[in-house]
Amino acid sequence: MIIIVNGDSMTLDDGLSVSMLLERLKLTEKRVVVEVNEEIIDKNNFPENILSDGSKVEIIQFVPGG
Amino acid sequence: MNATIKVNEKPVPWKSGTTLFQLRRQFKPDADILVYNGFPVDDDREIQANDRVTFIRRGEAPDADEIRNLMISRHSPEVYDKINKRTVGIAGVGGLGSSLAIALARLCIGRVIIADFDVVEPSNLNRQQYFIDQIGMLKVDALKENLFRINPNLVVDTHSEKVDRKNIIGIYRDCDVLAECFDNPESKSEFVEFALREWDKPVVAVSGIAGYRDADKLRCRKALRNLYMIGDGVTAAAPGSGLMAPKVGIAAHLQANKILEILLDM
Repeated sequence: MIIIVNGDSMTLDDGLSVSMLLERLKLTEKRVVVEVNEEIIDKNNFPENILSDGSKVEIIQFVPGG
Repeated sequence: MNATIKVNEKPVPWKSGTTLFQLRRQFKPDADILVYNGFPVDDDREIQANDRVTFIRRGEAPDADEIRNLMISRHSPEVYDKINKRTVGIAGVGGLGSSLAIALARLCIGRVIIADFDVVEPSNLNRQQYFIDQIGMLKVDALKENLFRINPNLVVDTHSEKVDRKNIIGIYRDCDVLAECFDNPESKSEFVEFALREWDKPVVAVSGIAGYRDADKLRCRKALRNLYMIGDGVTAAAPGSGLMAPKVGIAAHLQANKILEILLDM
């Protein structure tokens, strides 16, 4: 399947969850906000939220400092 | 109805041909700062119907009403009326939150809701808007004190507790706009995620402001429908790349400016 992550297309295996995508991108679940098809996903649901072909994913990453 | 003008924000009947210097003689002869329709001026001029003039004596401490009137004349009544009825929520009052709150106080936002569990400590003085004699105070109490010294009309609600999923709604329910000003990335993420899911309110958040390089990369971008992000997104506070006053201050003021823009467009 092909999904769009922050505007770029990525080819990935079917059945990939948000958690698995973040792991592939080496991002920490607790330090991101994820939107899939214009819906903000609750962190607690990252493992069971399965992406599908054409999904538009936006990932906002937070780093320390304030 | 007869035409009026406003002198120090109080309505006064307008008479054709009246000049600025004549009004000064009448209302505040010792004034040495003259603000005409929001702009400081030096020269005399004829006053038109509906004009606003403010007379100030340099060095004289104004009371809260006078401060309000000065701010109205500075920012224009249109801007003041729009933002003075608004409430801004600030999550965390460290480097970002303390500078942001001060900018909002100077803008004459009506009310701010600030939350932070921390106390002022010496290492905070490198970038946070606190003073040596406030070390040991709760940050929310110290900030409230500092904000009142700038704008006694600002309403400040303080919460000295750690903000998390359980109390966000109770603390920030009344806000028109939310500012994420935490230091810790897990808190940033939790707050922004929860706020965007719970409410249809704009959130202005920050990520990537450490060190001193590339300050001009701290631009504000619209990241999601209700989320604005400031910072380069990558430069983390870490050993060798600490948080310093300039970039933290720039980020906080980009937040303040975006909030102003959002409130004026509401």
